[in-house]
Amino acid sequence: MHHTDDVSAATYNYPHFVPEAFEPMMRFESSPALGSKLPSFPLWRATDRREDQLSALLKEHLYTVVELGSFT
Amino acid sequence: MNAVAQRFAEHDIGSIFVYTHEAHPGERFPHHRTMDDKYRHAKALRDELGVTRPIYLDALNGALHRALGGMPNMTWIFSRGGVPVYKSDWTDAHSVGNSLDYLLEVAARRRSGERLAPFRIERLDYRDHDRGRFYEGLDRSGPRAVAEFEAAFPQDRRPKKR
Repeated sequence: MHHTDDVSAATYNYPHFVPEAFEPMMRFESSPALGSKLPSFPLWRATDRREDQLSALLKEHLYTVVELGSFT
Repeated sequence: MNAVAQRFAEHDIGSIFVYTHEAHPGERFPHHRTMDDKYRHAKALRDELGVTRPIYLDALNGALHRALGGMPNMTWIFSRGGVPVYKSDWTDAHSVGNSLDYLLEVAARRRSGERLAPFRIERLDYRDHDRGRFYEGLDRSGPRAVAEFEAAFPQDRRPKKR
C-alpha cells in the first residue's frame, strides 16, 4: 500500500524528537511491496540543485541502491 | 556503503543517497524550514561524514521518503524499470552487498538461459549495534538531540564510560 496522505513540510520536519512527532512518520510495514513498480518522484541534485526524476536515475543502471537518511 | 558502491560499480550497479529530514534535530542541525536548510545539511553530510555517492534531496515534505516507509536510514534496491527488489528498514552494508551478489548471480543465470520467476521472501538480517557510535552521531547534532533521544528511549541511555 502506498503512503498517499498529504503531510505538510512542517509536520514532516518535526523540530523535536518526541514520539508524537516521529512515530507517525515510520510506516515501513505499509511501504510498497517488492515487485511492484514505484511511481516516480522528483529529486534535486545536491551539487547544483538540478531537478531529476527518480525513474530517470534508475534507468541508468541494471540496479540502483538507494540509501535514505540524513546527517542526524 | 561507499565501499559497497565502489565494489559493485563495475557491474552496472548505481548508488545514490537521498537526503530526507533530520531524524534527531539539534542545535547544530535543526529541522528544515526551507530547501536551503536541506542543501546545507546535505553538504555537511558529504564533507563531514564523507558520503561519496551522489546525494539527491527529497522534496521538503519527504514525498519519496514517506512513500517508502519513512524510516530514518533505509535502503532500497530498484531495477532499471523502477521495480523495488530489496527493501530494508535499516541500512547495513553487509546486507546490501549480500543482496547485490545474489541479484548479479540471478542476472548471470538468466544470461546462461535459465528460466527464472520472482518470488517474495522475508529474512531477518543483522546490523551493527554500536550504541557509543550512535551517540557520537547525536552529539554531532547537538545536546538537545541527545536529551530528546534519552527522554524518548530511557532504556537506551548513553553507555557510561569505564
